[in-house]
Amino acid sequence: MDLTLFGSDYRFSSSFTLHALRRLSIDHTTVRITPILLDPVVLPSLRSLALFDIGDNHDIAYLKRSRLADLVPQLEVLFLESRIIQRGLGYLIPALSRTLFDYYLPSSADRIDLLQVAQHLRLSLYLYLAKFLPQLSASIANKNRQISLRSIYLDISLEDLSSLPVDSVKAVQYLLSVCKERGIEVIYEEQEDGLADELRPSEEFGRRQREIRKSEATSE
Amino acid sequence: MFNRLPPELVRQIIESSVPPRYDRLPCADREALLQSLCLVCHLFRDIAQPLLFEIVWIVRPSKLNALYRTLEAESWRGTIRQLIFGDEYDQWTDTENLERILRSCQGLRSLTLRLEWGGLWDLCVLQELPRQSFL
Repeated sequence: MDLTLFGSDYRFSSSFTLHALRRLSIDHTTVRITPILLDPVVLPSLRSLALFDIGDNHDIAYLKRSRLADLVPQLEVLFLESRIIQRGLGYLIPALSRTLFDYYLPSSADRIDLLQVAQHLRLSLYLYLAKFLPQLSASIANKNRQISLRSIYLDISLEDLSSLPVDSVKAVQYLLSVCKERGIEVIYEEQEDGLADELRPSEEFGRRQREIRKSEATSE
Repeated sequence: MFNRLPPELVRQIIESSVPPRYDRLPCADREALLQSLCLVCHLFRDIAQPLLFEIVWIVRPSKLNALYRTLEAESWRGTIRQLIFGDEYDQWTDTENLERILRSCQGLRSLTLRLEWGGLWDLCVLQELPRQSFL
């Protein structure tokens, strides 16, 4: 059911279809094959797509040559990096409620406000929290700013504040307080590493999305 | 002593002691624990060995041939559920061996590949995998 690809040594000798593949994860080293792979004809049963560390102009040029736009409607969950928001891929807009963005520190050149777009954000365990969190928390706290953020996913190790360094405790506490104030849910989950030390797609996010869909289906 | 316990109970004890986890460290821990359990007694080996082959994690291409021979000789063909293969250590990957293994994995549910040193591997091979597995 799952396929995860890293590296660049792949080719396609002919057209093909992976009929029962439901979950696909790739990273920037594999982006070269996306023009062929990301296509509803090739992946008719795909429901979960993770694009790790894919967000710079070079990567987006490959994605633009793919049929990702046609694939998005059939996806139940997407895992993307927040840099991709700056690339203005309009076809992702209908899927924002089912997309979990991995937080990437915004750049001063960013034209699009990350917090106005992302509804669900994951903060990697490997971010230097004491440095990044205050900036993010301040952005969330700014009431003059309209934000779409509904949930933040943190590693479970951050739940026990007593085990953290003092500067991280302050940063996490501030984040928790601003999230509470603005009605943003904080979800703790064990963040798992994969083969290339990438974060694996969030099981909890997938579970919640399935529940939402189930309740929507029953209410119809 | 364990021989006096119902095998189902011993199986439960062993299964609950090995983490069914994906990521690298627990995967290595899981392998080491199951390997140790295999050496305890025949009963333990009979239970632990199939679990050992449920998740196979290989980072040395040179091990592919040994894995294939084991799968064939021990009739473990249907056992592998999750295969994680990366050509770390800059070793050349014999993609024919990889393809033979994939074709023999009747019950494969999850495949992770990182290929950077083996020449261009044809992803169309994935289409030929048994329909009852993931493709």
